[in-house]
Parts: sequence; structure tokens; C-alpha cells
Amino acid sequence: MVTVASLVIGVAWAWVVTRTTVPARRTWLVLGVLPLAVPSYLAAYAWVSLVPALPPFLGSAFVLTLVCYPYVLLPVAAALTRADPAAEDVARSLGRGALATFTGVTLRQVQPAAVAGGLLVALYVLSDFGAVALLRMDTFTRAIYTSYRAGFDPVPAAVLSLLLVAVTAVIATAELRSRGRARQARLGSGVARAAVPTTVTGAPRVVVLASMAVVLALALAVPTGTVAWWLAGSSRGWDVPTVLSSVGATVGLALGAAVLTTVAAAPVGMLAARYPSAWAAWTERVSYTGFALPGIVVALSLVYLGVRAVYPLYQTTTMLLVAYAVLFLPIAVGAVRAAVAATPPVLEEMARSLGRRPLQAFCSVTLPAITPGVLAGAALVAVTVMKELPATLILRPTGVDTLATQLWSATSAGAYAAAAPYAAGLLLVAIVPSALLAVRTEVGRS
Amino acid sequence: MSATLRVAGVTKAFGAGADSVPVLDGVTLDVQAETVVAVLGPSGCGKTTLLRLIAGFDRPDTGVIELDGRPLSAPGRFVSPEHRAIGVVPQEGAVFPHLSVASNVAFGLGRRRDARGRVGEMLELVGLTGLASRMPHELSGGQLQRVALARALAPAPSLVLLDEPFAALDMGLRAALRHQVREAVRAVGATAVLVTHDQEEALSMADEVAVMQHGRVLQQGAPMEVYAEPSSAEVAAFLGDAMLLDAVSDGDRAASAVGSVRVNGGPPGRGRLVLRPEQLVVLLRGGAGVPGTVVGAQFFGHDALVTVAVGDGSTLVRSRVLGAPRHLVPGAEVSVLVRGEGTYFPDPTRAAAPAAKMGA
Repeated sequence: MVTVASLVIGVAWAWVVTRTTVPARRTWLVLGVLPLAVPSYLAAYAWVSLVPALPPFLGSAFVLTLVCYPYVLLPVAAALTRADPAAEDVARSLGRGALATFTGVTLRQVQPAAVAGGLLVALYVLSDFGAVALLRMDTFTRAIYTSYRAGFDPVPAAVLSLLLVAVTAVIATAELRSRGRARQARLGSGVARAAVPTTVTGAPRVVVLASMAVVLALALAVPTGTVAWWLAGSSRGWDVPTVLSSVGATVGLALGAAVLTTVAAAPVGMLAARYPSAWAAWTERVSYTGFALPGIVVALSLVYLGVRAVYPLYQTTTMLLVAYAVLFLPIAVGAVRAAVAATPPVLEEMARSLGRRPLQAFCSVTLPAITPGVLAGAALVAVTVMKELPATLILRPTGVDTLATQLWSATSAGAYAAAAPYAAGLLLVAIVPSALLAVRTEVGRS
Repeated sequence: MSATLRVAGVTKAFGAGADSVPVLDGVTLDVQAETVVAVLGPSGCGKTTLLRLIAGFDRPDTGVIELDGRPLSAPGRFVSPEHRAIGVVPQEGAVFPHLSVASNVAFGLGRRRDARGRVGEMLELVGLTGLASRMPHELSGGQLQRVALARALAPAPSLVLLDEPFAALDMGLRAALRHQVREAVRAVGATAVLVTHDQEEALSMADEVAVMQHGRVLQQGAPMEVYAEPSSAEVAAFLGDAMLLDAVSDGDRAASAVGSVRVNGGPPGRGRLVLRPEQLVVLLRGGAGVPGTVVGAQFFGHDALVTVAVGDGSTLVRSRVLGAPRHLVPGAEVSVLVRGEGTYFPDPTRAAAPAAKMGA
């Protein structure tokens, strides 16, 4: 349900900001991506405090959709910018109407991007803990957490985790099927033209702008407003050094995790893009399980591993970074795969014929071409790590507090005023890479 | 500087097991030093695959590829592309998008001390002096192809491979570039293999033409030789405009719908006679020749192609007539004469036909 809603919002938003004449399209794109910076538990908190009677299931779906749709908006907007409008022109000339062209050609062109984004949303929802815990919704993740808290009996948690892995396998297989034989690359030669934007005026324009404003209000204004309210209500002075050290820990962990995850993702992504085989496809699929596993499951299994096998690593930053890498590998794998797939192999062959060895050819030709896309993936990993809660709670080295853990402990104790500076800090820190991502998509257009 | 290329018995199939599709089926090609050989064939005949095997981007299944007697691809031996010193100009140019024109051309020069001078020389050779600091997206299609050519020639390769390098360009630009490329390759003294489906390109640029079909080289030789003496009806039909007429030969002359034509030997019997449109002379009815009726005329300016129905009217022949033949309008009664010798091919399917009938 969240996936469907996210797809509808994400694709529609992407189309409006790339292919129509609404005013300030670029600003709308950047604004639309910003909810990425809002952690799901913060959004849930804000909504619960605003509407205490929020029904668990619908409430969870509602809140998760609001924080998840940017995962669809980003890749689809990028794909729409790249897609060759000539195919749409041809469809129109063959007698298809505007709507038939959109569903038959435009949607098909962005399908791989939309499905990849939808996959991220589906997996995110499966593994989300914070929001559903706050809304008392019984999902897999919460059941695992409850059984873990109840008696430290690992068996129910393990069984439920395996079920989650199975659900992930089904979803990931469906995505692989839908990717099918279609290729994203432009066919033929010639220069790609910019699309002629659809003119939107009068009543439809008002409706479009109003609905985008409503989504933004729900997704962005409610959480930030709540945080601002808390801030205003906190009469005591803030513990500035603690806040700053949490900011430092959050940024440091996010950067470390982004680097480690991207390095780990590089071979998988390149394999999947350059040498498509059943084996490569399954390697890529397997890397997705981590994202679907609730952070708490990965964290517990690493605790077990740390205590039994590699004790020196237990409760170290290294262990935490490994957990992040396991959890968020698919984000980086997807970015690497898309970037490599967009770089024609003939460039590397030319470098070879001019005397470069395979590795040199890769570094001198392919690497510069894929760097922007890979960096975007790293930024997305960084944002997600900043918001991550359960694995951080369990695996962080003693004495290390991130913005997310501080926020969690303050809000669990009901100390909203104390939570405020951490919530504000988290939003501000996470907005930086989110905005960078949106701006990059926008620059890709020119 | 220049080298002799030898390709012998090369096969290549894509896919595995029952789905395997043979693309090259025993290709043999010889390229003498400092010549340009055009590999000419229809789309899908395996030309590009052959080029990729010579460049070392793919490995042949069987067969040998040698450069100056040094095996590049042979059973148990494979020289990687970076050690072959073969320049490649691919169809799409594939100019590195993140490097300037000068850096693209200098790419294969490594740390050579005279690299800058060499880049200047190459850009002058292809007529791009002054564009050295431009980025690829600031160039036109023709300019990009010339950058790709300069980049391939800069390290002074002994062999240059050109894969339909002008396919994406318009006619006028194509003709100009053809000449420029021919001169540039000659100027650096390289041997070149040009792959194309455009016979005009092949015939005008190359010292030798190799006609390729269904993964095999059917005939290789000087353009005029292959045109005048095709080794098979397929080659004749592919290279230039040709008419294939049913004929009965007695060894010296062949009887056909356009009368009795002198042929270049061959065994007596049934077969096919190949004639070029410029060999047919069409005159208003009256003199010698086979009677016919004009059914159509295409006018090209410098000449015209006149289609004539001969015999009982079921056989159509084409004649190339210089100038503007205003009298040869549809319906005109004419006589058709054949100038010179025809090429006769005995038809194996006809000889085998009775046997096949018995088998069925």
C-alpha cells in the first residue's frame, strides 16, 4: 500500500517538475526530495502528538508514504530527464492521445527507475521499526522486537526474520522480472532534444500546485513544525557540547558508512551492469536482503557474531559501520549499476586499443563517467544512516551518541523539550545531502 | 610502420549450446602493407564481429589472426588489445566525453615527450587545428569522427580499423570525410581495414574490396576486378547494379531473353547470366537487337535508368543511358543490344533438381 501510494506521488511529482510548465519547477523538485531527511519515527511522533487517535494501520501507511515517496521521485525524475522525447513524439504521430502516450511510452521508459524506487520503498517499509513502534502497529519488525525484549529467546525472532527474508525474495524477484529485456539506453544516433513541456494553466495548475503544497505540508511542515514547537517550549538552556558531539558522531558515522558501503557495492553493481548473467543477477538480489532485514535483526546477528567469533570488534565503530553496509548495500548497488549501465563499454575498448591495461582503462575512462552517479548513491546512504535507529542503538560503541539515539531516548522518556535540539539537528544535517541529491538531478537536465 | 594482416579460417559463434548463432563461418582475409581494404557486406553479415576480433575485443572460436607474421589470436595464444597497437575508429566515434579534444588525441601517447607536438600534427592532419581545447559536446558529428580518427592514428599504429565511420553523417560530409580519411591514413603510412555496407564508399576508398556474406568472405580483389569478374552471382548482385537472367550456355555464348551473349567460358548447360545496366544499349525499334517495350524510366541528371520489357514481356531489364533520353518514354518500341561480355554462372540447384525429385 505504501509502495503504491509512493509510486503514484513520486511518478506524478517527477512528471510535473520535469515535463510541465508549472512555475518554479526546480524549487518544487528540491522541496519534494526534502522529506527524505525526516526520520520515519520523527514523522510518526509529530503525527501522534498532533492526532492522538491515528489508527495504527492507516496511520503507519500514511506516515511511511510521506517519508518514502522521495525514493521514487529521485530516480524517476532523473530517468524522465534522460528519456528521449522523440519516442513520445512518434507515439503522438501514430495517433495515440496524450494520456495513451503517457501510459504507453513515457511510463514504460521510466519503468526501470520507478520499479527500482518502488523496491526500495517496499523494503524500507518491511524493515521499518521506529514509525510502526510508535503507532503500535503489529508488523513483522515490531513482533521481532517484542519477542527480543520479552525473553531474549532468539528463536521467534529468527523465525520471523526468515519470513521477512522470504518476503524480500519474492519482491526482489518480481522487480527482476519487471526489469525484463528492456534497456534504458538511448537507441540510435543524433542529439537528444529537450522535451517540449506540457502547458498547464488555469484550474489544473492550481490543483497541481495545491496538491504538491498539501503533500509538502503533511510530509515536511508537520514534523518541522512539531520540532519548532518543542524548541520554543524548552525553557532550559541546551546542552550545547552534547548536541555538537552528537552532530559530530552522526556526520562521522554517515560519511564512514557511505564510503564503506559504496566500496562494497562497487563490484556487485558493476558485475550486474556489465556482465548480466543469472549469477550476477542473484548476487545483486542477495545484497537486497540486508535492506529488508530490520536493523534490529542485523544488529542482533552482529552482536552474536561479535561475542562468539570476533570479540575485539564487539561494540566498535567498525562493527557499526559493517552493520550499516549490510543494511544499506542495495542503495549503493543500485546507484553503481545505473551509472555503469549508462556508460557505453565501447569507451573502455577504445582505451584498451590505445594501450591501456584493463584497470587503467577503467580508471581513466569509466571512473570519471560514473563518479557523479556513485556519489549520489553515497549521499543517499549517508542520509539513510543518519536516520537509522535500531542498529545504532544496539551496536554503537559505549559513550557514542548520535542525534538519532539522543532523540530516541529523550522521546521515549517523554522529554520533548530535551529532544528538540537533537531533532532539529538531525533534520538540518540530513537536509544537506538530500538537497544535494535533488540539485544534482536538476543539473543533469541542462 | 605498416604491417600485413592475415586472417585465416576464423569462426565465431555467440550464445551457447543449441541457441548458438554462428556469426563468422571461416573468414579468410589478407591485407597487404600500406593498403586500404574495404570489407563490404549487408547488415548482419559479421563485419563488425570480424573487426572486434582483429582489435582483440573478442576471441575467435577457431582460426588464426596474424600481424606481420606475429600471431595475435591463435589456438592457445591471445594478445590483449592494449598490446596489439591497432587503432580503432568505431561507428559511434566513442570520443571520451570527459576529455578535451587534445586530451582525447593524446590518450594513446602516454608519457611521450613529443606528445603535444604529435597532437598538433594529428589535428592538422584531420583539419581540426584550433579546436584542441574544445570539449566533445561542443563539436558536430563530423568533427567528432575526425577526433576519433586523430586519436586512433596518433600512436602511429601499424594497422587502423574503421567500423562504418561515416554511417551517421550526411551525404556531403561523408564524401568529404572519405577523402580526408584516405589521405590521413596514407599520410601516416598505415594499413587500414574499413568495414562498410555502402558499396560506393568501399569502391571509392579501398585498394581492395572483400565482399562478405553470411559470415564468409566470398571474394577479395581490386574494386574493378571484383566488379568486372565477380566470382559468384551473389557477389555480382551485391556489388553494383546487376541483372541475373536465366540462360543456356554452350561454353562460348549464352542464350537469354536479351539474345545470344558472349560469355567468359564455363561449362555448357543451364545457368544464370549476369549483365550490368551500362552494358545494355536501347535504341528505337528498327535495327538489330531483341525487340522490347519501355515500361519505365528513372532520371538522375547525368544519366537515366530505363526499364524495358523483353521477350514475351515477363522479363524486365535495365539499361543505363547517358544524358536525358527524352524519346525513351513508357510505351516506346525499342531494340535492346548487349555490349561486351557477360558473366555466366552454371546453376547447381538446377543440375541437382532431378535428383532431388527422385528423392522425394
